[in-house]
Amino acid sequence: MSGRALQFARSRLDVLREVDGWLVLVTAALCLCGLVFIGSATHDDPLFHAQQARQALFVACGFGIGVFVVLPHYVHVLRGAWLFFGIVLLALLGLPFFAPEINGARRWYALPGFSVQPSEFAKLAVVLALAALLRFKARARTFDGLVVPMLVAAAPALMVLRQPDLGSSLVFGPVLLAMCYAAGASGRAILLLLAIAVGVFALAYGELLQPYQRDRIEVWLDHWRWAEADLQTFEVKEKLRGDGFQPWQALIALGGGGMLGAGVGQGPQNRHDFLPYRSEDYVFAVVGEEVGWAGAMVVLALLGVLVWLLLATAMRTRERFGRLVCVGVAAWIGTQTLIHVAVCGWLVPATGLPMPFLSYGGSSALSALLGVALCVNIGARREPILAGDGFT
Amino acid sequence: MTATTTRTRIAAIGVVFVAVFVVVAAHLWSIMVVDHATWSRRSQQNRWAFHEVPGKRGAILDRHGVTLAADEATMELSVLYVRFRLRHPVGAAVHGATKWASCLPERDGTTYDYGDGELGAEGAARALLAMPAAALRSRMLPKDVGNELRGVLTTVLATCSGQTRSRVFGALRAASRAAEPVAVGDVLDVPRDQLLAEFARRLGALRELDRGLQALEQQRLGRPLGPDDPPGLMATLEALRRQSLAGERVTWWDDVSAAEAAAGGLETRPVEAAGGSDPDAVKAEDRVMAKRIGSKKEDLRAVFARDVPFDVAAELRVSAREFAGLDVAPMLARRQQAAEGTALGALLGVVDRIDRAVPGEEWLDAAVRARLPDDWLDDADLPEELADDGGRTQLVEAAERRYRDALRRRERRGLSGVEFEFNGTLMGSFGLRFAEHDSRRREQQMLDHVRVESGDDVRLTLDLGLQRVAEAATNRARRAQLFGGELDQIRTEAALAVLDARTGDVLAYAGAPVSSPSARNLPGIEWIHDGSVGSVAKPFVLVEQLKAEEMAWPHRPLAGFEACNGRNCGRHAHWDGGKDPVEALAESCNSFYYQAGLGLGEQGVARALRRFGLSPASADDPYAACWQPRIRGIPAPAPARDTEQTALPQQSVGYGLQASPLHVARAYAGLATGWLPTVGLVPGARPRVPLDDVVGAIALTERGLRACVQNGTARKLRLMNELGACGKTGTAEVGKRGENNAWFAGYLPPLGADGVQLCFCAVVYWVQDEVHGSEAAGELVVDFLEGIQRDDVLQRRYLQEGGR
Repeated sequence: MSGRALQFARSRLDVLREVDGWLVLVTAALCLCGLVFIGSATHDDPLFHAQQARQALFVACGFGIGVFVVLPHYVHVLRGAWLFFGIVLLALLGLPFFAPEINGARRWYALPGFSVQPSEFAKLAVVLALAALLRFKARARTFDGLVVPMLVAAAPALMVLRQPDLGSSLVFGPVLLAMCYAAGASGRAILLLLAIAVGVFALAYGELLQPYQRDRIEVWLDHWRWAEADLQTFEVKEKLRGDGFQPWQALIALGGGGMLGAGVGQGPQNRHDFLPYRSEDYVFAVVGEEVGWAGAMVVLALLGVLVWLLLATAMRTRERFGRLVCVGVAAWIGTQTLIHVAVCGWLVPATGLPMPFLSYGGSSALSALLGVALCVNIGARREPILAGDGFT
Repeated sequence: MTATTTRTRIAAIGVVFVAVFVVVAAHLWSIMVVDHATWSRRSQQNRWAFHEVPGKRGAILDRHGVTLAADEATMELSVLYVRFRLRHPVGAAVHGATKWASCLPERDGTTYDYGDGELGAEGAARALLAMPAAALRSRMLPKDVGNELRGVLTTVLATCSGQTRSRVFGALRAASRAAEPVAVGDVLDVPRDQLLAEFARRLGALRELDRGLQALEQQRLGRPLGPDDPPGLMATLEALRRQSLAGERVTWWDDVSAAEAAAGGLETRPVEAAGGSDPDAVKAEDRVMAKRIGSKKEDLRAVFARDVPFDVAAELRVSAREFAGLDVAPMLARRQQAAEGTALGALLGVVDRIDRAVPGEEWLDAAVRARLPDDWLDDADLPEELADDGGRTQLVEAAERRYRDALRRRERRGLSGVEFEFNGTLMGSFGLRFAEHDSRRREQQMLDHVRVESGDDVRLTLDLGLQRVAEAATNRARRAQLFGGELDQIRTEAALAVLDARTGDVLAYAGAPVSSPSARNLPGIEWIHDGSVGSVAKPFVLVEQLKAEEMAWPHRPLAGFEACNGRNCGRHAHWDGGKDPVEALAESCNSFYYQAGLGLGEQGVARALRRFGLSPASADDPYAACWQPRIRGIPAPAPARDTEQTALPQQSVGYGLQASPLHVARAYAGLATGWLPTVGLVPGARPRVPLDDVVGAIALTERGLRACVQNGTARKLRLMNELGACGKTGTAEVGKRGENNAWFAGYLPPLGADGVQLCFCAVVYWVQDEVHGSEAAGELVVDFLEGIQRDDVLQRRYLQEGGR
């Protein structure tokens, strides 16, 4: 190797010394928790027993790719942000034509040995695209300037909603709001965005949502009125066997966990298969049942610390693109976590949304790890090198 | 914007997250910590269950160990209609087409059924496939109608095309949004004719199954199916279809307090009046019967076939997709050697589920108390929250409810015959498992259990081979004696009782015909008219006459008897028999017995019958031990006498005495052995009464009985004579046109390989005038004995030389 090449490599590797160790450690801890609870949820399951090993492989790949994401300066990411967004958008557009239908939805491209879920990468793509747009100070200060970012977030969100995947589409809204706000949008503009989102959702309730999604919302609205005696009535029993089955079983799992839980692998709801798709959409219910409220709070605290570390990185970063990417990734992971937990506790209507780092899913794990790796990269750059409007 | 401002904004975002996090954490605290006990209980209710285990009923065996009745594992088929109409193409089409018709004003009120024709199942499929897909668009139909139609159409198209439901659902959705109008039957790349052909095949498969099951049931019953038999699959589906459309629910009346009924707004009616002496009657004043409404009938399993052979049921289970909504469940069925309508069948009786057998709840209460021990669940490894008394009590109550329900629904009880009489021995007891199961109801671990007990076998004294021969003989005898109009056809019946004279074992008890499975309808048990025994009672009067002479009790000495002038004996004058007791018995001379009866008086004749157990004897009577009013397992009525309507002389020739062939045979067993046995249907030592005080009289009587067969009224029964039988004919006039009850009773010498001594009594009720005991009943016994001779095994057992 020539001396020049060696110097280049050394300069690249130097950045590793600046990496935020806590961010990596917390992420690794969360991935480990995920592997434990995925293992617990799929142990002895003839259909899903391989999920733990597959998830370990995805996490390993995620960390491996993450290293390569950390090494080059993130300016290269900025340059490729729109390309990445375009590819993801094309991938989403192609789903109705090329993706096989699984459980009534077309969300995954089937590749040999694994499948890819573009909506998971769409979250990262939207964060990068929004950051690329909003790095210009002026854009965020007027409502007109927010129209393009709104469209950038809305396009993939609608495409994901039509898959249908209501849960994933819900993440885009809070990410947009958080990034716009961090970019300097006025409170009034944020409220207006929020009002538009609510208005569109209310107007499109009948058209955008599938009948089963509307049924889930109705059961959720109903369940707040149920008293103990109502649970014995035929009507409620019917609902608990139908659209209310999954959230009710998740509540039973959480409530049965108590303060300290039944122990890893010992949760009756998990062990006896009362919770469908528990390694994916209801992994937090498994956590709650097996390690109790205390353990669940530890897991949530880890995620809280991760979000806090990401926001702290954003605060430390003087360059707008990097800062907004950190805010976007934090908003994405925080929102997805809170929605997942709220779904498990039936605080919101049932919808399938993986818990970052804990739920089974290669695309979800890879995109989240790439997002964190990018933030690690941003945090490791002490000196801004971008020119122009990117600096504050 | 300054850097500080940006940091503040980022911090604000963090604060928002923290706020939401606090809300979520508080909600989790409320569920997981505050309401933990409630959710924990729900978790237990989810996975803990009591599973009943039906106990196998003991077998009924004949005296040689041949199985007469036993439990056999078999299958029960049921339909869960709500599933059938959603997942089976035929059910889906019938309900879907009806629902679709209700959306069209011009067709509202049209209903499709499972029959043929335009409004039948195939018509429903055609109507449904012709439906425009655009009607499935959102808001085109009421939401629930739209959802239901999408579901049933997906079922019909997916099952008839072989494509996946998700693919069909997607095609329907796309077609509903397409600009070009398209019919539902054309949304797939499968021609509509092909879909209809597959639909017809599925409908045909259901009908074929129905026909097959009905044929099996006919074969099992040995007769065509009637209105009281199970309706079959298609008829069950049709009934459920109507109930489903009407939204019928299960209702029952529950005894509740008036206040509870008023609070719940329940429909009520007064509690049925309790018995006057019931101390709880006062408490019932503030209680009412409230109407409870339960599940929809279509949500409950409706059984449409029982006793289905394993191979048929297995095919149904293997093809579960083909027959969506139909279920197969294991059950135990009672199998009998005897066909329905036979005397053996009536003797063995029937078994049915308790809910049909026991009208009240008392029996269930007693069974639950007896079988669920007090320490039930003490050893179960219960979690802390259930380990206290309250939790345990709740669990015990739930177990009792389940056990009671299981008993009512699944445990079987003998309703008649031996099954009823020995029910306690045969029934065993139901088991109960307290188990943890998974979401698919697969048991994961057993926490505690009440042991299932199989019933014990009951061995009877009957000989299956002998019974069959006896039944064949009685059937032939009845057919031979049929005469006259319908009334005579009904009244002409035949019965034959065969005992082992030494032990009193009932070897065979046949009757023909048997109109119901109830043993009470066995001829000889159910008296349909005057059952006077006639002259078969004469030997007992003769014994008494001889004893009275010996003991100088009131009597007319034989030396003073007048010779028979034929006035009392039809056209026959028994000049010799008038004074010779052996001849008098052989010739059945009424004149002789009238004189004997008049000499013995009422008391003497009564004593004659009491000695041989043919008349009730009080406890302080010297013949009390001779009285056997009841034969366990055979509901034969005790002998009865009518002395008020019958003059003394007639009493001495068997008038005014009603007795079953079993009791008469028992009395003849006393003559045969000098011991009056206790008749029984189960083997074992039973008391017998010695007739030592009349040994001499019995010996003389036996000569008379032998003479009867050799050259008396039974002389035509040559086989009897060849076998050395002793016997007596009897002909009791019972009808206004001279109809008779024809009797023959007697016994063989101990001939069997193991010294069995056959003792028999046959009767043919309501034979024509001029047909006597010898021709009707005597021939019946001869036919029976010839049947034994034809069977090598029976010949060796009962007619081989040996013994005395």
